[in-house]
Amino acid sequence: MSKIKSQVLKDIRDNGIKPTSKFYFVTRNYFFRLLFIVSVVVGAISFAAILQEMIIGSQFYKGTNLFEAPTLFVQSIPFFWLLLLAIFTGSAWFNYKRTDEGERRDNGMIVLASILFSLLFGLLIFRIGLSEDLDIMMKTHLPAYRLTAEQRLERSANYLERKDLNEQAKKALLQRERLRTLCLNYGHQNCFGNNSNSSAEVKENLE
Amino acid sequence: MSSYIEEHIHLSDEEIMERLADMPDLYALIIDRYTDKLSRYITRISCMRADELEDILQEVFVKAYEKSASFNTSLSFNSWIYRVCHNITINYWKKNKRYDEGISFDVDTKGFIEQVTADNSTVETIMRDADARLVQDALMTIRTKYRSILVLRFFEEQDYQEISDVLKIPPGTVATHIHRAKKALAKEVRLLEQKHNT
Repeated sequence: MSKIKSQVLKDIRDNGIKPTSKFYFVTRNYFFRLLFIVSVVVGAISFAAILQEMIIGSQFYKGTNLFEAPTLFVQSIPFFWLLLLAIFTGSAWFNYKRTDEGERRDNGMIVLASILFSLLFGLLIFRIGLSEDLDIMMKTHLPAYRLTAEQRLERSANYLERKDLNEQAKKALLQRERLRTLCLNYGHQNCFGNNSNSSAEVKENLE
Repeated sequence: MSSYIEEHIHLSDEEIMERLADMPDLYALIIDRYTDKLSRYITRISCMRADELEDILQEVFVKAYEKSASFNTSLSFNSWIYRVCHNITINYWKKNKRYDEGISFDVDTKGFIEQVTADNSTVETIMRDADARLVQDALMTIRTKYRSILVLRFFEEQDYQEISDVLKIPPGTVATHIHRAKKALAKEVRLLEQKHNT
């Protein structure tokens, strides 16, 4: 018996080494597949939220010129959701690479496929209105999130530098008022600042 | 060899792996079949000393035994065990990186040069008259991923699919990796020649 063979067999015998159960490897494979799916779904939600925010922001586009529109477009991008989409695309790649079928796949193709799935599924979420529900829920329950959304709208309105509020800005502010009302109806007292004048101010401008 | 093992000597590697849970003694056949092959592979990609080589080889076979249930039947067993060996060797090499100039390849380096230069004129020009020792030195100096792919292709004579399985790279990119590895080798040979001549 060769030296290596006798040493290996002795090692296996003396240390009681047994093959790891197949169940472990099968479970591990399914676990990473599941994480991949979860990552794609979160990516889809992020994309749907981006679409939702940009639809709100797009109200300022009407009547803008070619120079204003790109700046408004960039200002309306919710970078939080974009970052989340990027992170979960990376997570999808990481998890898929650890599956049996993914380990030999091209990295670029995996990233592209996960982005594509997220975009398609995100579009579906947006179309059925779930992104709007998510948007309202987050603006209702997360003051910091609501604040950043408001700041985005205000930046766009300020950029246009219209002394009189144009129709688009009015619509945006109307939505803000609608959200504030919803927020108060849920029993939150500090929505959009607990300032009863804010509602009056908006109404005055809308008249 | 026991008669029990002799009875099963006709089994393929894949069949032995399927029976390993119930008949662990059959693993001796796997060790017999792959000791020499893996020793040569380990030496070629890392130039280990004899004592280190034994340690690595032992670890490879023990690890392969432990992970035998993970053997994916869509791969050939040959590719699978080379992959286990490759990963363990590279990890060891990274931790203990050095090149012992006393060790040389046990193969015909001229034959290797002929194969490497067969289809690439730029590389051929540089390496046609290169000294065998310089080529060996260059081979040990280039990046591990380039060295591994050249060894697998030209010394272990594995095809593109097998290389893809061992190194876990897409089959479509194996040719590109080989091309880059050849260029890297030629560049290193040229540098060493210039250094040698000064």
